[in-house]
Amino acid sequence: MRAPNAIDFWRGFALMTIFVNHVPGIVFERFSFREYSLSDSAELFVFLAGVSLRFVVNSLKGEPLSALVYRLAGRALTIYYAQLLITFFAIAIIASAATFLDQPYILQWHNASAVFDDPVEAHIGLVLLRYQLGYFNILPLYVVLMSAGPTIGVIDRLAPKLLLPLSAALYVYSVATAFNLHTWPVEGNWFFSPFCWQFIFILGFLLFGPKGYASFSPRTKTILFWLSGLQTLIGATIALADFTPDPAMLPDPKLFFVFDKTFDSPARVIHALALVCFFSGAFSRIVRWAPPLASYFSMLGRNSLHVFCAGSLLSLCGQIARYIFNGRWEIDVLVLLVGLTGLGVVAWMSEWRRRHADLRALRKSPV
Amino acid sequence: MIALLASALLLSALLISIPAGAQDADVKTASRCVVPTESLAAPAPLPHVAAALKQRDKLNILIIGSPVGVGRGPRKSYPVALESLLERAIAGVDVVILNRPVSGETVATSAERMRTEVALARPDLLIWQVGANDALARVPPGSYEEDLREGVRWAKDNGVDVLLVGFEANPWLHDDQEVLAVREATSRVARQENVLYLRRYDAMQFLARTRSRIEQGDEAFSADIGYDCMAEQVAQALAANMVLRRTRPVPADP
Repeated sequence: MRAPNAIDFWRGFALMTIFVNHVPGIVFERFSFREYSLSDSAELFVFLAGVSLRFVVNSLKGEPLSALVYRLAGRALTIYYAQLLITFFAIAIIASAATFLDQPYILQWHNASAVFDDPVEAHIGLVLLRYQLGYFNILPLYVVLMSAGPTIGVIDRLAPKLLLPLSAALYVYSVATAFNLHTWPVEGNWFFSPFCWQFIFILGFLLFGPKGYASFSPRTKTILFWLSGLQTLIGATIALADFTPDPAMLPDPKLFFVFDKTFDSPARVIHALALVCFFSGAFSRIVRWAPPLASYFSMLGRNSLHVFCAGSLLSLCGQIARYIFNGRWEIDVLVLLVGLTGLGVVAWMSEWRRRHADLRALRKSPV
Repeated sequence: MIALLASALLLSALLISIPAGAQDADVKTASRCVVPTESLAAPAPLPHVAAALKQRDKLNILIIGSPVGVGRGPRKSYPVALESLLERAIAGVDVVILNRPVSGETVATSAERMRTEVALARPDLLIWQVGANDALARVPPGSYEEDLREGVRWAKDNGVDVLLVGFEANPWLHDDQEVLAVREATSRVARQENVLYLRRYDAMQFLARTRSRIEQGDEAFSADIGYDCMAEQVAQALAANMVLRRTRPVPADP
């Protein structure tokens, strides 16, 4: 397995934060960085997903275009399967809780009722990703973004200069018109508009590309570092003051000026980029001062899809545990400890399995 | 005003007396959804709804909060059913419903989103479905009440009438103090801010008490009846309110 690095570390950090944020009411959510920031772990996760797409595209540099398309489409399909699998596990967890606690009311939890009340339409909606359970809405976004992966890879190879203007144009149009996908059979909108969130994904992809951050001059990097530090401070002050701009007082198109998550308003995107820039150098200090922490988060980040799936299901179990025990702080501590351990075990098992498979392949290969 | 009153009365009559030509499923659902108005919602002013009906013959409604599930009854979805019920009753009025619920959302997060959605859509009426997720997530009732009150005040200050829709209940509901506290907090906010509050719990309790198993077929009283009844009860609450508040003041032009 590769050694701990900044990308894996921050990805692991984002996964852990998503786990905590997905247990609403848990006492530790007040320590989540979204309390001190205009953006949250969702932006960090999607940005780093863009970065990892860059690594995949780079690793296929010498391969023909068809291989690139095949590999990226396969990755999107894997994430799609993961979404279906965890959704069905989540439905089973909700059904089990309702059965064992003898409280059918729980069947209505997180929009799950349609599965039990109208399974015909709900199952079609689940497979089409048009029906999403509450808190199970990041992977559908990821599926859409990765489905665009082959197109992104092709544009990047044939006309790389087109990628940023295309992405920015789609972003501006979507924010200006509140462009989003609809849900069905329970009518509503996607929690994350893929047309807006693709922008931060593409920024992650481009900033780690050949003309990205690494190519900037030391002087530019220093200026960006201090500017991002300033932005981090301003964002933290705004978040701590609990200030949000009043949309009614803002000019049109309003989504450009609010801190909206669904459409990932510019303030959130800028702040997320500032956080990435300001804290990107922190990893080297964390490795020096807290090596176990660096190893643990990097291990989570290396196995992000498995860890994400486990985290989604563990956070749902955490919500049920909080419900049963009336949200006591002791239960919150237990939920966090089980979550930390569970995510670590899943990541460790994924790596153990891979190591085992590699060893077996090595033994079988002719000397 | 007379036309409005007549329309409201017509809607009430429509809901109570089953419309001619309705589908069997509609008839069955409507018949089992009727609840005395006093069990449904206390009257409150809807000045912006009244002004919209008077000035534009168009009513813009924004739905936000927890989504309503899909019932086993009529195949019409909740917003479509509500829209057609209101349009059938208030002749000549174009009802436009913007459905923007997000599953799993607590009031704190939906209040944030509500501000943006209201500013974008500029509705006359906000239907805010509240409480269920907060109760399930054990959000402290105090902070729930504070977030809800702030959101309701903001909506009113920005020219939108508010209808709070509580969460339904069934005989197995885990009815502990937390759930009760959330319901009381919602009721308190509605009373103090003088906005409509559809007490779905009370409505469904009434139905549970009064409907026999025979009337409901072989099935026990279940939550899906709550979903099927949602559109009817929201429409009934609005209609009854229009009738009761016929002397309400009409706001000055903005």
